[in-house]
Amino acid sequence: MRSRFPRRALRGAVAVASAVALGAGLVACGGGSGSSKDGGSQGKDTATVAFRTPNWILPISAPGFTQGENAIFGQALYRSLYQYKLDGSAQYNIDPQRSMAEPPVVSDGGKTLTITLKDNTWSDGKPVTTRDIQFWYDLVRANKDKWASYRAGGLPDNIAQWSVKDDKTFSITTTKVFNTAWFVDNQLNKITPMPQHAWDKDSATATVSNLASTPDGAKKVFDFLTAAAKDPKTYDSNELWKVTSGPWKLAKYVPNGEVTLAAQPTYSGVDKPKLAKIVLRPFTGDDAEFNVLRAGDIDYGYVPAANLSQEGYLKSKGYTVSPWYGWSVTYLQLNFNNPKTGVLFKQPYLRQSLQMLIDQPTISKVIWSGTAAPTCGPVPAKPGTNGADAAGCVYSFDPGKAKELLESHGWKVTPDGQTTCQTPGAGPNQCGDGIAAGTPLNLTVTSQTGFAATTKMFAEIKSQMAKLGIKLTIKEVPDSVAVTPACKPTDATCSWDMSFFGSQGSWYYPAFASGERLFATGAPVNLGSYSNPEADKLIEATQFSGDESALKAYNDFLAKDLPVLWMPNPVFQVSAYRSGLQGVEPQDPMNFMYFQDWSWK
Amino acid sequence: MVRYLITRLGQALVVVVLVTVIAFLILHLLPGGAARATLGKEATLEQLAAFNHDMGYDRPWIQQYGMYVQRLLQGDLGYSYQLNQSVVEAISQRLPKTMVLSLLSTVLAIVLAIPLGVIQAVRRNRWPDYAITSLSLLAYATPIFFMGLMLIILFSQVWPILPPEAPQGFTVAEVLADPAGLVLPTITLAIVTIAVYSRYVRSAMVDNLNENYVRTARSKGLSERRVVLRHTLRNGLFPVIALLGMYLPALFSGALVVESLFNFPGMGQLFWQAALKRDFPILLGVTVIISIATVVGALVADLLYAAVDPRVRLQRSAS
Repeated sequence: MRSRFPRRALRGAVAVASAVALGAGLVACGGGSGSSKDGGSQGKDTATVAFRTPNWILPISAPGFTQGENAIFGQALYRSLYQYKLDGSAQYNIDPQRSMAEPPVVSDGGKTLTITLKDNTWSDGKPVTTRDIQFWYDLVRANKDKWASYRAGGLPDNIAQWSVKDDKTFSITTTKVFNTAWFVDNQLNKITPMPQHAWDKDSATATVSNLASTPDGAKKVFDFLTAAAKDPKTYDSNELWKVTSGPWKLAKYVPNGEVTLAAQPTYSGVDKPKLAKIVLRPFTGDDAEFNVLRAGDIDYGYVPAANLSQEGYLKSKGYTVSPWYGWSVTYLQLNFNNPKTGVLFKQPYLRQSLQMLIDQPTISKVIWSGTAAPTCGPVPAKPGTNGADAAGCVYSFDPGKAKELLESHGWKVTPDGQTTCQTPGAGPNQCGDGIAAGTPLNLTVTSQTGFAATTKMFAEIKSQMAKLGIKLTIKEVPDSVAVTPACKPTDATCSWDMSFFGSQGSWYYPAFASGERLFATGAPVNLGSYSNPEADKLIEATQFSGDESALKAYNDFLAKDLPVLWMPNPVFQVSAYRSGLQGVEPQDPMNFMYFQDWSWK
Repeated sequence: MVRYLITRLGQALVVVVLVTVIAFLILHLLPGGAARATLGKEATLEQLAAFNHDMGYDRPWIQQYGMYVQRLLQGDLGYSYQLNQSVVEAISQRLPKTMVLSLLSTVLAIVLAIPLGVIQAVRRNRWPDYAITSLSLLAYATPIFFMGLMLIILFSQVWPILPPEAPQGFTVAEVLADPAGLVLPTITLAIVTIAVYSRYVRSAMVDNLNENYVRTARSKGLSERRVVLRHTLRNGLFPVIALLGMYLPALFSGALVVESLFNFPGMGQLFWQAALKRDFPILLGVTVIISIATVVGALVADLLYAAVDPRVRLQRSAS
């Protein structure tokens, strides 16, 4: 039936629709170009960086606030006593340029370290003195249970005497002789001078005194400073945070939004900022960040693994694409305490077989598109030299040898079927203590969601294992660390077999890559409860022996003993920055960012 | 009407309480717990225990729920370690921005969908109807992230006239001060809504145009314009009113995909990040807000229905 709706009314409806569309268009035009106001390289004195909003400002870390962005933000405002670089050019890896003190002078058979401060000032012109170091020490000593970096036996427990000699010199006497390299790199790295002349009080209106010099007073001061740090919306207005020692000052802070750092005109370090402003812009996710990067609205961002194929496009738009290698290792955690499969993981031959089924070079090259390199042991390869071969690894990819190992230990290998224990017992040619006849090789890996390469990697490993009749079930969860805790066999939470949380590297080290937090018996991050007296002895030697070969001995033993299965170690991220932005490289393997080195060509 | 309102409010309250109980239970049954997720793999057992104690996670869940309700009644939704701010603060920062985006897209969708639906109905089975129907189906079938991505590539990269991200302002005023940034997310969010609403309007209009009252109106010599716009359209808007009421939760929760794609720091994004990080206080807070919005939305839809259609009121009075 022909409609009787008049054309005039139809035109009216169309006009309304057109007006709205036109309105939207006008709004668009009114907004100008696609460039963001702060983005790009306008003016050549600002750089815009994709960066999660930091949410902790106090230079004493707190549990739950130890994310990398907080460390970088903290370093921009408050310099540490020592900064490190891993190029092998300086003793103890100390960066002589950026550090606030000269390298320590060791005496007393290695027990006393005497440290002399360089001439530095706070942003308000007051000198940085040993009083500011003492202030930090007083606060952490009285509040160590609230300090994220505290470990029983570590700082401040391992200090027998803390002596201030004068405004520039202090000494630390330890409870026993430590390996100086370990102590300098993994203990002194926690010290950050704090402005006693501005912060030693327990309320905003109180007068600064020597309150923190007593334990009770130190608790009050700490509570006051912590409460201020838990109020991000006042970060850029609170007078406390205006006294800084770093190359940058906080110009603007939006909670969960953009943060603007401005060059600190009174900065006393030698690495003065070359740019006037750094804008840290958070993104809701990889897609949003990459869209903005593609549009050229940020100067420094990252290429999500799923978008690595667009490297050429980014280069054509004037970006330099560069992998950021980390001082890290990646591994698959094995749960030695699992009441069912723990007995399997306790068999060295079985761990070796599983390791031989992980084709690290191929996975690194093909699945990670060359942005990962084999891990061969607990000590990382020298940053930036990551090759894609596993020449240095004790166990290379060798399914034939893996099969031989299983068969020679009493397993009936059924390719593409189910391999079972045929000869139980603890003898040399038997499955091992606690493994019953007919036990199948069924394992489950709890892995991370959201990383395409990780998913493909485990599909490949599953396929290799299936060829030897080992059934691997892959369970992806958003937070694999949270659901795979260290546990006792009787705990309900101890049902996990293998855990992977290394899509961006499992573990990043401080300058000295010892394993007391990873592989020592009862170590905090020893989620799989690995325990080996020999390993404990070697780990202890890395901390307490003056022998420089201790680290190598420790590495060689654990590379072979497999406390975990070594996996391809992905780069921290693939960075993309405008080709005119200088000073970005080399990207710090310990994941710090030194914005003060950046400048426009 | 007042009695009806009181009854509905009572029902709404029961629903909200049930939602909080269920959400609380589900969240606390998730393996892993919040402590490890918040403190990370480096946390010691002592630190984990201290966190659980501070947050009350070491108590029986019924006690935890009681404490939660007690705080809730005082307007305290808890504290998010992950964000280092209170849940109320986190939500109040994002909610207005999400509402701006949702309102803009809804207004755009309604303003476009109603005329399009009317055109389809009065020109049904002719080329304007086919053309709009085809476009609607295409819009409806296209995943929203793909639609957004296409718009970004088209208008930010191929023809760079619009920014690829939403305004990053902290306040609503700052967001509105950057209208260009709002165009693409608003259009992306509106497109699917336009497709849905226009189909509903079309369907309702077609039904009504075949009703006797329309024939009567025409036979009385009323102009077609008057018949369509004054008589038929009013009835044809009923489904839109119902849809609008049900849309209220979306207004509060935001469109997750669009917020994520355009880097819009709104409620959807807040909830998503909280889910990934097991930020229980945020998850619970957002769930409560959305459940309240859902029951209020259903209530508003009913009341609006009654306001525009006297028959609804009469039926309820009779019952």
